[in-house]
Amino acid sequence: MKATLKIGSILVLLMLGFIAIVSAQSDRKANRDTREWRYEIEAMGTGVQGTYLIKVWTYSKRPDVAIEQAKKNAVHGIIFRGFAGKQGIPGQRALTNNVNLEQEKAEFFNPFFADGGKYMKFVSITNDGSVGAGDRLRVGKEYKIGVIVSVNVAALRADLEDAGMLKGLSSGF
Amino acid sequence: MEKKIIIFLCLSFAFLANGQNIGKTVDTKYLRPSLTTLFFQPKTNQENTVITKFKELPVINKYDDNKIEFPYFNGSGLSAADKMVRMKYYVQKAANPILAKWWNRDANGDFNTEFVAKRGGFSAIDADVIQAKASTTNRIEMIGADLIDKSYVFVYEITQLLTMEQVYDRTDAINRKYKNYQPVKRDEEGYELTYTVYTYKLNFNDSISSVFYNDYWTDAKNHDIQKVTKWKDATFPMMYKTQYSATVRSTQPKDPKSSVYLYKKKKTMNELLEDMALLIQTNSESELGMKIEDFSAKVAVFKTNPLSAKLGTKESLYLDQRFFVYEIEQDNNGTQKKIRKGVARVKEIADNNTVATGTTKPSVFQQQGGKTLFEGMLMESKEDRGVSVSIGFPLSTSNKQFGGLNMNLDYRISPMAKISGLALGIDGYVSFFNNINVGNVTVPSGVLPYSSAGSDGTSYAIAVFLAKEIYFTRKGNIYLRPSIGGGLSGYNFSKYNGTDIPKETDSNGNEVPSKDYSWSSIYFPLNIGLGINISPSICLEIKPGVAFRFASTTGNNEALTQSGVPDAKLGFESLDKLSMNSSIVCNLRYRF
Repeated sequence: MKATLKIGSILVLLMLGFIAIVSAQSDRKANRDTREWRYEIEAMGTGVQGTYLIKVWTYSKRPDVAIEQAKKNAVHGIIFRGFAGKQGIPGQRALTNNVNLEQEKAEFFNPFFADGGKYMKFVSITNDGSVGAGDRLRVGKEYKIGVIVSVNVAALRADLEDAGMLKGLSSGF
Repeated sequence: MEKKIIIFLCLSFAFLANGQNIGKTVDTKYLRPSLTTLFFQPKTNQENTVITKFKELPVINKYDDNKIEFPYFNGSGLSAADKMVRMKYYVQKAANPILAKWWNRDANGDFNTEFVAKRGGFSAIDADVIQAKASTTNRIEMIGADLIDKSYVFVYEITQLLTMEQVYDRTDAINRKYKNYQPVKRDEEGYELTYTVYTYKLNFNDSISSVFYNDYWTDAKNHDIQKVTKWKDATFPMMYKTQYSATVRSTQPKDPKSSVYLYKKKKTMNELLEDMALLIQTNSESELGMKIEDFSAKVAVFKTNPLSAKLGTKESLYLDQRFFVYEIEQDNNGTQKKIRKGVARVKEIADNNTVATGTTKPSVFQQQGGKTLFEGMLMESKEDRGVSVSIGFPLSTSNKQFGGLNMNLDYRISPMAKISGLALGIDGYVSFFNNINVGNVTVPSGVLPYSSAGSDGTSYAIAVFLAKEIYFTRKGNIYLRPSIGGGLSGYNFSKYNGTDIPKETDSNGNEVPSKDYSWSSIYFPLNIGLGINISPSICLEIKPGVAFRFASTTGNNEALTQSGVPDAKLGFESLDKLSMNSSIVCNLRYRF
């Protein structure tokens, strides 16, 4: 009886360990995709006061990961890349002109873009809970997923200014 | 040299043709089509009755109704080619009132966006509404403008309208050429109508819409009398899409004592004629719905457990309507193609016949084969006719009467019965026997020879059945199909007791098989098929079942008595009693 309990406990522990490893690997994959910052931004409309309405095309081997990473990519894109306009929708420049800002202020941006990080405060998914039919593309061995998000640029800018990452709009005067 | 030039031209053409596909994207957006119905000039009063009734019918819910007041097309005396040329000009003229309807043209000749916005609002899906809330630009009105390019015109031509008497005359005239000619039974009254419907689509692309806005747009704020005048002669391009011809019948039994009239009233000939309008509309819209891609509803997979998508009554969804589920693949040139990943059918229909608010309930689907599906995959309606045919052979049977060559034809009745997977069909078995000992079979009149060794003949079983397809796995690659039915089984002998059976002569003087040697009984089959969906149309089914057969009689209604020991597995041993017969049949089923 004791031996059975012992074997049972070992098996349970092994299974839990296996699940933890698989889960960690999956997170690592997701983070690797994000660290490479492989995404494209498309203007979708003029957002309501203080927001940008954009579609973020994210690449990942797993579509569910891509959807989650889209929010992170959207905020990243607004801060560091900006996006081009199209048919009556104006493009927007990046919030910073400093191309090295992310590396220079890594101690700020690493936790900012970590899973569950502060970036989430400034972005919301603007769909009904599913990806549009034309926004889920298989490209080679990975997926390119388009997610429409609304980024609260006004709040994001204010937060980055408060943190000293950006100069205030009035600081030049 | 010439050869080299030809090879070069061929290669260039292939390269250019391939180049046409570069960057080609898959159209994933479903824009609600609108429909205008126009008609050829009626040639008779009867045709006029049908067309007048047709004009009163609303279009089915799937389309927006673009009814307009427009004269008939006069195509009489024209050759086929001339008719098509004239018809194109006719529908191009019809584009004028169609666009006037879209842009809500008023008595002063001014346009406004009220109607377009209203239609856009009704057509918008949840995603559009949510995006509109997050945007300062009104996307919904833009959807309305996109809908104009999905304006279809159906031009109906009645090519022949006959009374059933004329139809019978025609059939008799054809059959008179054959030996053993028998006049057709004239037991129905009503009409048979043959029609052709020509379909066109308004071309309202960017360049044509800019011509419209520049040359004709005038509104209450900027009234332009010159543009109002110019509008009178404006025509817009219409693209010929396809045509479809069919024959429909509206009939009822002539005999007023017919059992049909126990549950419905006998109609007048005029009412039967008017019924034609709905028959033509249902028939043509359903057929063209399968032919024209714009009419196929498209949507993204919303959730996968259960499989659901945001379509519903607004798109005239019906139970068991078939959808293909695709993954879109994009190559390095940006060219996209659809790869089918699964098949699904409508299981529960959501009522979405209102303006979307962002929280529309989705309809539920049952996947019926394919691979794992994911949210965001493209679902596209690929309607089938709801008919399936199967052919099979027995793997094991206790009575060959229910285990011979098996043929089965069924029709899906789920939309009418409001039960998914329900079908009504005919199931039949046929097998042949040679030199068989039937046993010692007698009848009260003692007509049958006592000893019956060396008999040849055919055994058959034919039943009407009700079946339901049940899915219990998520991918739906396998299904269960219980069915219950009732029918007739029997034996027809060509040789009995080693002697050829002489034929009898019926009241018309025709030779018919001897009634004493045509035995039949009532039976009730119960089956439960286990099917594998191999492709959207083909499935393999293993069908174990039992058939309860009651005592048999001859064609003269004489009860049969068995007192011998017949050869096994043909059911002769239980001719005179209730028997339970088991069989396992393997069927290949094809869905149309």
